[in-house]
Amino acid sequence: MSEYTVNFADGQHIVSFEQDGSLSIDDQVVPIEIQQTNEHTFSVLVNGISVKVIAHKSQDAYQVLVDSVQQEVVVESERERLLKAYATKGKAARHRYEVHAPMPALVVKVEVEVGEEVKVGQGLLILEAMKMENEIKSHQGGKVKKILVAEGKTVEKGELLMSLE
Amino acid sequence: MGKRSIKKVLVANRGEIALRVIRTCREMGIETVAVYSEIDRNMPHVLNADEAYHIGPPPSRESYLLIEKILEVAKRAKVDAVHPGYGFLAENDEFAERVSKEGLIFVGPSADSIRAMGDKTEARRLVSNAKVPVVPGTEDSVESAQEARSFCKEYGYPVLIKAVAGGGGKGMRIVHKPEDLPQLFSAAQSEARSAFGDSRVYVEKYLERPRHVEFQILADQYGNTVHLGERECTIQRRHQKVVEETPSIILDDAMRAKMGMTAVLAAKACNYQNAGTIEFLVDKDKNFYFLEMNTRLQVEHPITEMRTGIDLVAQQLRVAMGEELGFRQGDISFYGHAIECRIYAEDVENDFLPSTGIITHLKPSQGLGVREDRGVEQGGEISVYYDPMISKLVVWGGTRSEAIERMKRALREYEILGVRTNIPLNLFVLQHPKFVSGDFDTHFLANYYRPELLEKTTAVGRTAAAVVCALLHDRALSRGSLQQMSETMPNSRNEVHSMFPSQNHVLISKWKQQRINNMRS
Repeated sequence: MSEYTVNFADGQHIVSFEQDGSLSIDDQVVPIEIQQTNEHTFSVLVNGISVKVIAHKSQDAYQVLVDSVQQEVVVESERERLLKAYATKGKAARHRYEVHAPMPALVVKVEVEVGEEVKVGQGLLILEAMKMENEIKSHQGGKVKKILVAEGKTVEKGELLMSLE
Repeated sequence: MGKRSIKKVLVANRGEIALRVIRTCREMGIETVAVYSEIDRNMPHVLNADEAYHIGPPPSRESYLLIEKILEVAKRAKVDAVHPGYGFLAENDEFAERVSKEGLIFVGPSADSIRAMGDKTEARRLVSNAKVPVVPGTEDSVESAQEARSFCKEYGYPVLIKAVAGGGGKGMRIVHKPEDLPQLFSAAQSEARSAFGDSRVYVEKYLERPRHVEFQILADQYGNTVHLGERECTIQRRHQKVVEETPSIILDDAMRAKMGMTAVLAAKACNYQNAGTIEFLVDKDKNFYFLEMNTRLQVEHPITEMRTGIDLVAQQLRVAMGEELGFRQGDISFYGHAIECRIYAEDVENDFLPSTGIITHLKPSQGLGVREDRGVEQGGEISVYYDPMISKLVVWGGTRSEAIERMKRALREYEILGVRTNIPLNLFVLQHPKFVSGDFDTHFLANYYRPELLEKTTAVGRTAAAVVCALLHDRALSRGSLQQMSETMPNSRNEVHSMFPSQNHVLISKWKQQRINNMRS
């Protein structure tokens, strides 16, 4: 048997492929048949109900399109799950919050200073991308610890912009 | 003036609009020349043009906005005319003038008309002299928030700060409270500067519950000016149109005739030639006011084409060649209902942040009454350099409800991965009772849209997705271990691959085989 934990944004499912070729989801056997019809397209028949799933792997997750909803799904094998649990064990959860650039952009304005107390929803900085200005707001209250960018600088997607404590 | 033929056109644009123009040119037997920035080498507008020339690095300021470069290509390729598309240089009077000075035809209005309408305060003056109603606003640009205050005091809040050189909602801010004025004023100025290179702004009274209804104009050089009906563009987000339709549910024949006539008057006020659009705001009592004129082809022009059967790009080219319009107002008939949904690369669940990346999977909708205008294909990139619009999905139906049903079907059929899109948002709009009943204003999305209201995956869909992802992961893990194995045993590589044909096989039985391989490694 091989078992996978499939994590959606709003919950997880355990998918197991049994020795006898059957498949169960969250411990329930589901009659399911799957065909890959092209590179990213899967035709899934669940009890006769036809579902089209478009999926492919991106860096650490799977991009999935089903029922016109795009989702990011993270899948872990038992081994991976155990390894991860081991790796994070002992690391005290620090109350630190990092702000990363959600897209490649130009820093138009930094709205806070180091040491400043910010509230949830407060604007931290303004990024310009695709000719539009987007304000990056704080998802968490705290004190600005570090600011790693300056106005006029271009940043890459995922780049660390500032950290809060 | 007079008649001149066009045998070869340079399309000074990229993406879907460049391809749109190229298509009509092909149909008219006109040769096309594309220009491209470094990252657009593989884009469809390059592949589909007769000739294509590199004009610079990705930032539009160093490529698509470089008048010199584009004129250089025009001369080198010996074109007769330049079509600007929309955006970039389309409403740049200097560009229109320079094109004409080179002895080439600018497929659009004269530089003077662009200038007159491009300066939003000047345009308001011009059309109000022609008895076209305008929204109350400052006559000239205002320099500071302080200066704006006196207008705000006189007319009351909310007010709208708008870029004098504006368009497309850039450099525009609504101010509801006096204390927000300074910050929003400078935000509008800085956005105006970066979008148009002109930081001037002016202030307008902001109408309550407004709708945005625009009229398509066509005018030739012989004084014939007609309108091709309206487009209802009220569904917007941050002044960016999202869903457009024609006809508008709020217009009856009498109001349509009156607004159409007014639109023609406004176009004539600046001696307009070629295709253009008069935008009106309609208030809750159905009073309408001139908002601005867009002196170019509009993004949403296909819905007018679907409903009138008139190819607007072909008309633009004919008018530019000095031909007379082949029809008068009374000859234009309207059929059925058309809707356009703009498909943007943005994350509708996460503050509408632009979503960049490679489009890894793309299969657009097809079928009766569906048209798709798109300038990027699977494998193409949505980059940070240009507009995040991926595609325009357009449908035609006999009635409004038929068109709505068709659009919902087409949106659900659309397959795209790699970047996030606003397809779920479009579906939200088309299914909302207020949209269906026609009772909406420009605040529709701000008032009703919440990410948690988006359609969710069905239970069976979720099951299917979970299994597919688990299988893909299973396959990826065994590939990984096989790869390690083949690195140490180079000769086994072929054998390994043949065990994993990637197409058309039943995956479900694969796991067993993979397990065996796992054990081996």
